[in-house]
Amino acid sequence: MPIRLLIFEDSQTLRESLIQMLELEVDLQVVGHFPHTQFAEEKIDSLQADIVLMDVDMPGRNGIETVRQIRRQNKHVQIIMLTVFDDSPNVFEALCAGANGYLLKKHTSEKLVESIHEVKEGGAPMSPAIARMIINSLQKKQPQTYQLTNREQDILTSLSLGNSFKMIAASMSTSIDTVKTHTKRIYEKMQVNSQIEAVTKALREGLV
Amino acid sequence: MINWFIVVLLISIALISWLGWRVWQYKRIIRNERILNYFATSLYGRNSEEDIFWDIAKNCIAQLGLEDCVIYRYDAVNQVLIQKAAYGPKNPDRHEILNPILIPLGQGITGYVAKTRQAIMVADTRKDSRYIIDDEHRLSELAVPILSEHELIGVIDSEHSAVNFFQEEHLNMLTRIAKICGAKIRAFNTETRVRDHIARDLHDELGSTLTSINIMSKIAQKLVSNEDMRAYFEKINLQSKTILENMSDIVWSINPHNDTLDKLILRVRELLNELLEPCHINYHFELKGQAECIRLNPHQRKEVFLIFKEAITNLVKHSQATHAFISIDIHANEMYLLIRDNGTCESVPTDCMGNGLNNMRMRAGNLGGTIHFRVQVDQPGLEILLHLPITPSGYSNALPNN
Repeated sequence: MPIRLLIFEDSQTLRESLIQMLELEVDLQVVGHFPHTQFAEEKIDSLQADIVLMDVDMPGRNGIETVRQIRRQNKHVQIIMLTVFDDSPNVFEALCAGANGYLLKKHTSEKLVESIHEVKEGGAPMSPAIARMIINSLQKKQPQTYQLTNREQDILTSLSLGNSFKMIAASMSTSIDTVKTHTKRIYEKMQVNSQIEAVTKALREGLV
Repeated sequence: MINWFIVVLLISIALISWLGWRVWQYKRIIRNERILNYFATSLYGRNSEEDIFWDIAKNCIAQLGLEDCVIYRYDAVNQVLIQKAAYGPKNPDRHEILNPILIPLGQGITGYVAKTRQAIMVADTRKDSRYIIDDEHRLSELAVPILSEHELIGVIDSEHSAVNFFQEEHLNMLTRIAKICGAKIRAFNTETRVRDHIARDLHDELGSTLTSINIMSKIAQKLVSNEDMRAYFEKINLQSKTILENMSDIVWSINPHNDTLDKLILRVRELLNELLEPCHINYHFELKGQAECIRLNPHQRKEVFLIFKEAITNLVKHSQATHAFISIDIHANEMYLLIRDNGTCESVPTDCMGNGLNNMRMRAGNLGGTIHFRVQVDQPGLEILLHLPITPSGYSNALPNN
């Protein structure tokens, strides 16, 4: 069974290139591609997508907001954000909204296929800038809100200093895959946390 | 005769004292212009609002001989003045304001100035019901608004322990300083906006198409069977990736959020991961000193990063090293950057080898710094040492040569 992909990308040239590249892979199938994010939630359901590739900068409802809406009803679909340049604040927000990973466009031709498999199998990359933003947001809140384990905390700190998965794996005498699994959990916890926040905020506003 | 003599004497005395008075007056004018010029020059290169405020406050004490000077930034959304910089007898050196004073619009003399946008000079604060005690009661006060076009930026406020201390001249000077400050803030904000726009345009217009070219050439590489053709497509793929990377560097360096040294270090570390890991070169990175509070302008950031990139690219291409040591050492006004490898290099490479040594020298020179290449005595491998002047409070004295 090939992995079913949906693409949301507003640049037509880039969208077409992405499709052509992905269709060369036997185990990948592009089941839909759109220049806008309208009805994205419905399309994911009706086309039974496994993985969504979402451009951060979309016209109308942007990529981040769309991810947030998708996650309200769909917890299973995996979402990879595409961004042209290292745009940490937006990527961070997208991860909080429920994205499972992200990819810089300059790495697309080399790493997209690899990243799709990685996310499918449960690992996600994290840049030092992103790790640092997570730590900062941890410091602002009650540390227990994220409920990170000590291991996750250590990995996050190490990532924020610019160490790679490989270096972290070596220093903790564990495998790269284990480190990847930990980062995936961190992403999940961030998302759960930001959802709890959204709920409490809604409640608070309802009460006022 | 005597009468005539007395008349001439009186006229001469009057003339001399008038001349003396004029000379004194002109001296004051020249002195004041010099002070204002000092303010304007001192602001050169300050690249954050906060830096601008601290600089003005400091110079008000040093140049105008005021007892204290506090600068408030106006927050239009909450209609409140927030203390941003303060110099005075209690804090003669700059330090962070931990609990900034908040003044609602219209309250106290400062709040009143913000509301009316008119300067106020209070000769005796005991007789002014608007006066609010800050840390202690002072007897006279002068507050002037900082305006940019017609928008209120903030208020410069000064108090003095003596009654009737502030004179018309103080008012004039502070008003003109506020004007310089307003213009500088406006220029700074415009620059930030322009930088944001350029970054966004590059991002949207060029990024997507280049990525597409990059992907297409990768596909073509896979599909063609002709070896020559494949080599061409590989070149297109590599070159388009390089342009994307260079654009990414430019966008990064002009993005106002990356103005501090710690952001630069973060990017350098990402680069190390990206370049050294695939080649199985282990590295050790060391940072000594505080990088958060050091601001770098876009030019400085870009040059330092490119020196780094060039050095690391060389290391990957030519050194055949298995290990690299990188350290950044920050002292009060200086930054030392060391890159050392355990490669096969036995003598310092010459410039003609296409290794960009001259480029690195030129960039270091642009920043007012120096760069040295040397081979270690006891073992092979190249060592690169970059030394740059920086100033923790805000900007480097180094200016671009062009």
